[in-house]
This record gives sequence, C-alpha cells and structure tokens, in this order.
Amino acid sequence: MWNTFKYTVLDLLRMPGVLVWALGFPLILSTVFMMMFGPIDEMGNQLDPIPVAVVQSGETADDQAFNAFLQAMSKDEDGQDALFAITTVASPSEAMQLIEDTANGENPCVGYIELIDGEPEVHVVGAASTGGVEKINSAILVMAMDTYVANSAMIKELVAEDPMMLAGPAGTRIMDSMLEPLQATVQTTVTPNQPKESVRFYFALLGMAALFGGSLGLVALQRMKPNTSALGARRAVGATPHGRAVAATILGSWIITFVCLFITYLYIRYVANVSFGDHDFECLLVAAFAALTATALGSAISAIPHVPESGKSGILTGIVCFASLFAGLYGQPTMELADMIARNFPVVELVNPAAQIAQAFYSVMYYDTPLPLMEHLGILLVMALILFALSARSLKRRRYASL
Amino acid sequence: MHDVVSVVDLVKRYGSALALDHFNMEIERGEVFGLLGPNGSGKTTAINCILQLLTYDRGEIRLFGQPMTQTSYDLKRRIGVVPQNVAVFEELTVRENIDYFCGLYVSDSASRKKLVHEAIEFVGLEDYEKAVPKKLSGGLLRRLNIACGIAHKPELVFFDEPTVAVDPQSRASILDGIKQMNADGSTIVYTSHYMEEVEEICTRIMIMDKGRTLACGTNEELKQLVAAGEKIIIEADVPEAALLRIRSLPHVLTATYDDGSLSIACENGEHNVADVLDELTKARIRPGRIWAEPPTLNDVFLEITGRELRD
Repeated sequence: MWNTFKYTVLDLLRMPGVLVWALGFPLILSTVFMMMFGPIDEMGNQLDPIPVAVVQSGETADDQAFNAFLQAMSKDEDGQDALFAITTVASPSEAMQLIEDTANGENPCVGYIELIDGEPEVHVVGAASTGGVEKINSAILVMAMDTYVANSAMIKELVAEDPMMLAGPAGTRIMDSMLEPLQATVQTTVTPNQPKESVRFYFALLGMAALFGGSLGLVALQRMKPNTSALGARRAVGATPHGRAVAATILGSWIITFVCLFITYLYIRYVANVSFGDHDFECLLVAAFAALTATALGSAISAIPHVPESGKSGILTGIVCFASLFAGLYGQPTMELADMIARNFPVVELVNPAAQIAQAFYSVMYYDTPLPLMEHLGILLVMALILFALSARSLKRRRYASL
Repeated sequence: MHDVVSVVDLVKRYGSALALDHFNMEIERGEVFGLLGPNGSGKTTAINCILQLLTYDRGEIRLFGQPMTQTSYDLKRRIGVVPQNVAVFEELTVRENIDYFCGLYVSDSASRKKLVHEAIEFVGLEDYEKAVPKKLSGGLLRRLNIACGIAHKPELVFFDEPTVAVDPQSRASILDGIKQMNADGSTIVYTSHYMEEVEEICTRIMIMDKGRTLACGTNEELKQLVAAGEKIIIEADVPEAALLRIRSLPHVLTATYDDGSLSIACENGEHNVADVLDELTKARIRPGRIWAEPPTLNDVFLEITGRELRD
C-alpha cells in the first residue's frame, strides 16, 4: 500500500498539466487579485479621521461653543484617533471646491458644516452614489451634529431655568455626560477580523482551487481502471489487494490536493496579506475537508462510464467553473447573483462545494464561535461521502465485459 | 502434478460475437507455450480471461491447480504479465516504474531493491535507470515493459505479443531473455502472430483462429499434420518438357516455373531434392542456386484454414 501511495504521489507531482490547475492557476489568480484589490484593501484598513470642511463662523457665544465642540471631536486626549479631520474654509463655495478637489483622492471630504443662527447645518455630498465607507462617514457626521444640536438646546434650557446648575463640579459632570455619546463614538469592527471587500474573492478562489484539485483524484483513479488504459489493466493483475490500492491512490490524491490548497492559502495569507487572524489550524482543517470533497468529486467523475479521460476532465472543469460562479468568484454582479440565489434557493448554496468551502473560510475569519465552521465542514464531509458512494461501484470493479 | 495453467471449455462473447468458442488449454511446468493465431483470433482475450480482467460466459480456469479468481492474490503473486501495449507510468523513471510494479508483488523493500537491480540488468537498461519512458526508443520501451512484468521473478509469465513494432536487434534480445527465463525455471505463455518467433522459442504451440483451437503440439508434430513437405526452389532455364517430367515425379505436388525460378512443392519424402536434381541432369539443365525450405507453421495454418496466417 505504501508503494502505491508513494508512486501515486510522485506520479501526480510530475504531471505538469494537473498541477497547473490545482496550484499554478490559483496562485496566478491570487496574484491578479492582489494587484487588483491591494490598494483598495489598504484604504479599508485605515480608520482615519473623517475629513470635514467647516465654514468659518463669527465670534458669538454659539460660534465659540461650536468651535470648542469641533475641536474636542477632532482631537482625542492623545492627539490620535480623532473622529473628524477639520478643514476650515471661508465660504460654502470654498467648501464645495474642497469636496470636489478631494473627491477622487484616498480620503475624500464627506461634506461641510456651516453654523447658521447658532445651529450647525450639515451638507453631505453624493450620499446615494457613494460606497460603503463614505456612506458610514456621512452618517457619523450627521449623527454628531444632531447630538450637538440636541445637547446645546438642552444646556440652553437648563441655563434658562437655573443659571447656577452648570456651576461647580456638578455642572462639569452634566457637561461631560452630555458629550458622552459623542466621545463614545469610535470606529471599530464587530468581527474578530476586520472585513475587507476583497476577501470574498479570495474565499471563492480557495473554493475553486480546492475543486480543481479534484483533477488529481480523477487522473489517479482513472489510471487504476483496467478498461481505460493498458496501465490500469496491468495494475489490476498485480498481487496487491484492490481495496488497498484504491485506498492508497485516494490517499495520495487527497494529500497532494490538500498541500496545493494549503500552499494557496499560505500565499493568500502571507503574500496577498489577507488576514485570517490566528486561525491557521482552523484553515488547515478547512483545507483538509475541502481537499477530501474535491478528491471525492474527482472520484465520482472518474466513475462516469463511456467517457474518455479528456471528456471527464472537461466535465470537472465545467463543474468547477459553474460552482465558482455561485461562490461569487467572477466579480460584483455574479456575487449579487450568487447572493440572490442563496437567499431565494438556499439549497443551491448547500450543494455547491465551492460555496461551502468559501463559507467555511468565511466562518473561520468572521465568527467567534466554531459552530458555523463545524456546520460547513460537516456539509463538506457529507458531500464527500455521497460522492465516494456514487463512485464505489466503479472503484470496486475489477473485471469487465470488454477492455 | 497439476498443470500450471488449465483452461476448460472457456466461452467468451462480446455481444453476439463469439470470441472464445469452448476453448481449452493445458500448460505444464517449464514449458514455453506459444499461442499462435492471426489478429483477432482470441489470443489476448484468452489471456485476459485467465488473468480475470475479462468476464466470461462459461468455463473453468485453474492456475497451479487452484481456481483463479479476482481475489486470488496468492496465485497472482506467482504470475507475471507483459502486455501487448507498453503499460508504464510516463512520469516515473525506468527504475521507479520497475520498483512500482515489483512492489505490487513484493512488499519487502530490501528484497525489492535487489530484484529491481537484477531486472534492469536482465533487460540491459543499466544506462537508462533514471530516464523517463518518453526518452526511450521503441525497443528500450519494450524492454522496460518486460522488466516491469518479470522483476518479481514469477513462476508463470504471460507475454502478449512483446515484439510488436520492435527492431530486429531488440527482438533478438527479447527472445534470448525469454529463453533465459525459461532456463531459470519460469513457465512461459507466449502469444504472437509471428510464426518465426513461436517456432524459435516455443516448446509447444497452439494454433488458434476465431476463438477455437485448430491444432496443438510441438513444432514438428504440427508440421506432420500437413501434407506439404519441403519447398524446393532452383534457379535454372527449364523448358516445358522438363517441367512436365518434374511434375510427374512421385512426391511432387506442384511445380511452377516463372522468370528463371523453378518452385516445387513436395510431399514429405526422404530425398526429394536429389530426385529433382537427377531429373534436371537428365534434361542437361545446369542449375544455378538451389535451396529447400521445410514446411512452416504458416503452411500448417494454410492447410487447416485455407488462409494465410497474416491474411
């Protein structure tokens, strides 16, 4: 059995055509993604202060209070992690000019504030057309100004009722509590790892890479069958028990698929800098299950009768490309299509190994409970068992009506 | 003592076509048994049935006195197979290929190492141990194909047309190797449609056609079956009158004269050449070159089927 395992591994490792699909192509695609998404990811990593323009106001008490508020919001105690990056401008038109000038930059100005009759008026730009980060920044700006308006109105009311209320330590506490909601407003992430828009492509890529690994199992098992080649016939007359030979071949194919997938994972993690947190073990687990499912897929396709090996390879490629489509590999429109199908026909995602592999990696990265991961691994295992069961008859067979 | 191979009443159909028609075969230990027949006569089918690669409709197959089944691994361990088509891993080297196939029979790696080394020496591939099959010529590939089948030193080896598309030098080397294996104790089953090879190496020959056994025996026994004895060819100017006298000789079956060459087919006789030469002398004809050919297996096949072996 060791002999069969050893030479199955050697044989597969020396097949350039097979390894190109299982390893070369995913690495190339990862590199392409890295070049495409690298700059976007770098932007997403920064929790920069929100750039805002403020139209210079006068010297009234309201103006001074508002300026003090803005100053507090644009610098924390350490001088870092400020909520706003304020640029003071002379007029609304100058503010608009600033917005236009920075629109295509890395950190666009999200709007401007003008104090009119003691109340800040917020102008956010292009809210409907902007993407996720700009939209959130605009919302934070609006919320901050709403809070300021509500609190300043309350303070004015308190002062009108009892001017002494704000004097002394009690007054300081009241003022602090009124500013508290804004001081507590910080940008943070609710997932263990910060989400990036690009990671979904990488997850889908890992799904595709795993399934392409199925070609290893397909080729290796195809070479065992007496009715497909003289080599298969010769191997079948050997004195090694058939079950052991099949097991060794499947094991060899699975290990190489697993190693190829894990290399792709390491490349994505350390070269493309997609963070998976400290979850290498879980990712190793996903790669192992994904490789098993892929090997089972190759095994099931190899069992299709009356189709030559090239035809079976074509069938596998078709399945991988189709499954990857619904895992969201081919860009935003297909991701939306995949999401729509997943919402309306969840069974499609359930039976899609590429989607399940992508979701398993997603679970590792974004969930702080192992349950979603276990669920996806369970589904992959069931898929593998079903696929192996489908190919069992073909794998067991040793005699044929014709060769 | 049991026959090494015993096939009784084997019937194999491919759909409605009868590939083996109540086929029987017994091979004794130490024989080089030849299966001779034209392409499609059922030689390879018979071997594949014996090796349990093909299902069959009826019949009994026993090797070394025991029934041969798909899971007769103890029997399979004693068998070697050299298939008609080269069947090796394209990505493995010569040594790795031999080691892999030897490993299907021998699990101990130390023993295997020795056996692989001996097999490489036996087929003369010492200079190509690290070469992959695509770097080998057709003859060397055939030698590798043989080494993969015999490295574990089997007691019984099936050679299925091992010399197809092989150059004469490699063919001679392969046939010498088979004789050597037989001398070392292996029983050989050799299929071919090359009658010269079968005549050269086989101790017993079975002639097959259309899935049936036409004749079986030693080379000499088979040739006794045909009426035709030797064929005599003489280069000379032979007039019509002399030709008629030669045709009337007692053992002459046919005599034809064409373009200075006289061809005479004779029955088995003790001095056919002398009788013909006497007749030529009487007619004052000086012969040029003279040669006589004994009957061939092709003559046997022709006599039995009315067709040439290579038709």
